Amino acid sequence: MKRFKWLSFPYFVWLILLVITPIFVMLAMTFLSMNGMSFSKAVWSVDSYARMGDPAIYKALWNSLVVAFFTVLICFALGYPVAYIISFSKLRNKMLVLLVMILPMWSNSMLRIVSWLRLFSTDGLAALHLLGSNEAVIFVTVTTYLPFMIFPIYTVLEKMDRSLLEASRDLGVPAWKTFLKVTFPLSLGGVSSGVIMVFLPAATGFAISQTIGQGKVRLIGNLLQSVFEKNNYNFGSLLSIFVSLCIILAILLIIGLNSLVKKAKAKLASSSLNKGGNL
Amino acid sequence: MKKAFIIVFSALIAFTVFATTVLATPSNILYLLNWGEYIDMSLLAEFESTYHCQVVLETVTSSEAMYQKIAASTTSYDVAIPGDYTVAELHEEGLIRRLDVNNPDLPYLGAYKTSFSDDLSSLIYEYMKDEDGVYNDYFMPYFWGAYCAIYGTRPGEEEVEAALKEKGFEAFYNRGLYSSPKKIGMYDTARWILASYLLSQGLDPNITDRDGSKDDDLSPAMVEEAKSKLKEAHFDEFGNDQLKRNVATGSLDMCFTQLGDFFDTLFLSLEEGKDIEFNVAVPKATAAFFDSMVIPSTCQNYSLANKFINFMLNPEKAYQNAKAIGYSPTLKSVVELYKEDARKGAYYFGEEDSKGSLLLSDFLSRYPVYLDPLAGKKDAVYMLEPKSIRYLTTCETIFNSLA
Repeated sequence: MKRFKWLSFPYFVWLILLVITPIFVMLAMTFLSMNGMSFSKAVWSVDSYARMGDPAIYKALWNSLVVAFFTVLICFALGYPVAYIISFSKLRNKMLVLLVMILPMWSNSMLRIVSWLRLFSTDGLAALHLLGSNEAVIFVTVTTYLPFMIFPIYTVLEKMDRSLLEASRDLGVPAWKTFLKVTFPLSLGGVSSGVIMVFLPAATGFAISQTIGQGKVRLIGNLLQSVFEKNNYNFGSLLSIFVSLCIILAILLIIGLNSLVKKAKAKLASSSLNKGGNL
Repeated sequence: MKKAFIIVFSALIAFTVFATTVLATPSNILYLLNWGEYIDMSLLAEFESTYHCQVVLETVTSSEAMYQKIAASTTSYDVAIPGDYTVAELHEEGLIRRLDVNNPDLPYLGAYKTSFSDDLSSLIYEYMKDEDGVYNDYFMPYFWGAYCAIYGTRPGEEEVEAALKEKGFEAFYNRGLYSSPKKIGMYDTARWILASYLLSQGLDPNITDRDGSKDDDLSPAMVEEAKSKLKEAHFDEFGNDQLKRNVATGSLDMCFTQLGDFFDTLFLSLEEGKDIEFNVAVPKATAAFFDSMVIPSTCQNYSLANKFINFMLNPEKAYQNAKAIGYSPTLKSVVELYKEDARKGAYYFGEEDSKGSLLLSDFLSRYPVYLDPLAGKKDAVYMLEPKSIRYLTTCETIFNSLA
């Protein structure tokens, strides 16, 4: 295999050119003040750092985390049963069912968001004053990202060793307990992938909050977009780095919680075995 | 033999494709940077056939993007149509070229000193000058207008009209003017929000402090004042193109916008056969704007660019463009053409006996601001001046305080 190692060279070039270098350029830009990318007219400045004291940034970040949290929660509550039912059903063509589920994703996401906007603006729904509310933003975010939760969970459930479930059933464990003790713990990998895949875009997006939030729901993505739109790439870079760090922290938290749960389960299982207990 | 035939045949096809592609592409290309749906496409086609060239059109959605595209010089645009303060910025930084105003073959360009509406010319003389004087030979106004309010005229909305006429933009910030709750929309451009607030206070929208100073950034006191007033205003919706439609359909009682937006909505509503239950008010204290044709300093086809601007300044072409786009014309000659057509009994929309048709004379008498956006408002008309990135970011901070 060693002789194929050189094949990974393009990957490192790509990584250095398109990931690491831009991060350092962004970091350098946080200490400059210039119009857009006019480096020739740049002057040293800490104006970007002075702006970080603005409470609106932290409020918008909090709003983003709240929207992302509820989106993940609802996507999980809806997505898990759907993935479970499809996976454990005796349908002949499960892929067709999944295909139908992702059918709306074949159209541009912006079109779907605008469709919701039009729907919420119709005479019947306009009376509910959905537009401009956090709830409407969360609802549309859920409809946009639900497939990202269903697919990883479904994949894990499909690949699960069904003999473990049979063993549990043979040992007389009730179905609900089998689910809690066997199926769910074994599907946690898919759940955490789904959580990350939904959480990331939900926390950093700006199109939904801008369109459905009618400017009244300001998320961190909206702040970022507005700053870059005004050609302030310096403050925009600092905000981007800050948001990236917050998101990395949140993901580490999710991964940490996941491994903690796994460890606790393993400990519980080994202690049960030691005591000669069953599942 | 068979192999040789395939090779020769393939080479022939490749050569034909290459040759036709190269020959079909005119060597005379004009790169035009404009806003979306802001030029009559048939005029572009006419220009292409007259001057045997190809016009490549690229559009932007904000003044900042327009500036950035010209400054970045990654594409050498031959003609761009930025807004007034972007023109001032571009001129100050030497990013636009002087137009060929002395070329006798370009008569409409050469007549620039006397061709534009008087009110517009006054604004140009007041705002578009540097140490060498007015630099009108660097830009040719394209369309113009003023910041205004579109409001509903349905039963129960009378208070809005009265408030706008009496208090101007204060009608957006003083809920005490109404006996019942009103639904008010505000444009989601941070700088416009601040401008609307300052205008509502009878202040110059370019000041950075209450004392009237104009610094690099807004004063902390001004930022706090704007933040608290914005919170108190409780706008029901922030948006852009959607606002005018919402007033037209009755979802909003009024919204802050630009004059062109009103005429755009009016035409659309007429086309859809809807009742016109909205109107426009240009308050006494307002700000005017105009977009202009300029030639960026990186242009590759200076001669063709000048010909294009001259072509668009031809009264007939400018009239055709104004009718297609619906924004207020900048040329005096176009204003006269409108009046002449009105006298002849031309229609603004539809034809004689067609349902919902509107005579041009009725349109002009109902909406005099179309041909004269600043009619009777010469005392308190401002224009938005170029501002620093720090100022614009602080405006965003004020808007973001609503988060």
